[in-house]
Amino acid sequence: MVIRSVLRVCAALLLGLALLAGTGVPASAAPASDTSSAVRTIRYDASRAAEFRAAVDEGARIWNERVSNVQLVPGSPADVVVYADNGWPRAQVIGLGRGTIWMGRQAVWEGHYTVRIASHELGHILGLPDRRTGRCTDLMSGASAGTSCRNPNPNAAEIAEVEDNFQFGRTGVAPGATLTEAPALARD
Amino acid sequence: MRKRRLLAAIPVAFVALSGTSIAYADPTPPPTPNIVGGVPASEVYSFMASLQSSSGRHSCGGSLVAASWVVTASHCGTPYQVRIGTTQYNSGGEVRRVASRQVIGGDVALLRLASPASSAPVPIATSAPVGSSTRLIGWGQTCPVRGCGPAPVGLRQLDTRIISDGYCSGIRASTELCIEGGGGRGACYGDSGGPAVIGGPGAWRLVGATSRGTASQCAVSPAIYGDVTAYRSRILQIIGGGAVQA
Repeated sequence: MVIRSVLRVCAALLLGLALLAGTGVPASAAPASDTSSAVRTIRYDASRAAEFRAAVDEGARIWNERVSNVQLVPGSPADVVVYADNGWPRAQVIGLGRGTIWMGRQAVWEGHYTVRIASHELGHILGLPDRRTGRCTDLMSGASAGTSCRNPNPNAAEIAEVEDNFQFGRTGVAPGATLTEAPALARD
Repeated sequence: MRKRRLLAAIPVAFVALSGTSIAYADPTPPPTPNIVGGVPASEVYSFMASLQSSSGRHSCGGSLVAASWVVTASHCGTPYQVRIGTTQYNSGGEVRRVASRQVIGGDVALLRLASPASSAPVPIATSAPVGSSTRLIGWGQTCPVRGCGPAPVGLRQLDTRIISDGYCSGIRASTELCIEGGGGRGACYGDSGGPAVIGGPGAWRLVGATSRGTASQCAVSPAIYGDVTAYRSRILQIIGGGAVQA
């Protein structure tokens, strides 16, 4: 128990540093006079996300706090529509910043944290693929980090990747792809 | 609330940073010895394939269905090579490079080998009725939590059965099979793409390709398999005369 407490304190410091680095880098790295004047606004509709509406809003807020080249705002016509169903959480990405998200209850019943699910699925919309590293410090590790992982925040690398995606109009997700949290049984 | 969330994330973050293979600081349940809950392969399955990287790392299973064709799961991607017809994924049998991959439908794909294998392929069954006994074969991890252990070098098998689709949440009923699992028995990470067969020694027929679990942890609930019999005519059309008759 003492060891766990020590671990927690150590890791809190590390995580704190990671978060500071994450928010600091994009702001200082963006020159004042480049093309980043065109901040992309993505409208999302969480009105059909049933009990997950607040989690989706929180996921959007988390991203908005950390990136500057793109912002997620509630509105219509929506670029991103969020539904709730009884399957696994998944996202169908039409293109960078556009698509459909299903907040699947299957993962919630298992104990996965709804805000982490929401910000992970929004990460797909922002052009991030799944990376099932099992690490809780990664947002895109998704369910592979286990149900004890309640980290809803992207790490510094994930933040930088989204900034680049919107600055240079690229994406790590093939248009039309559906990315699902259903536990595929391959070895990573 | 915020503080609690942060704290909960921490032990894992620390372990990940320290680079050990331990998943969590919490005690893990004792590993069950086997696919999960299976036994060592009772024979050399001539059609059994291990999908591998160029360094020979096992990622998925597969089934040789014709001299130059292996059925696997779409989500396994395109491996560098396959090792076929051995109970040890790192020795024996034969190794063939993979030339290309074609997605057949859902989570079922066909790999074309760069040169034909000499091992005996498995025929594709004509149907996979609910209630059938089936054998799962694979090098998937033998403990139920993702990443809890390495792929076993020795092939494992588990006898179970096909159950109604209703037991498998998220299943595509017309092209997938629900395979009984739970109580410490079932397919696990590394078994993807590998076979579910019916019949018996000398007369095995392929019915399924491992796709996914219905829970993040293995062997607590049924698993979903691509129904290879549903794609039988399509696959036979592609692999042509190289197929063996069921």
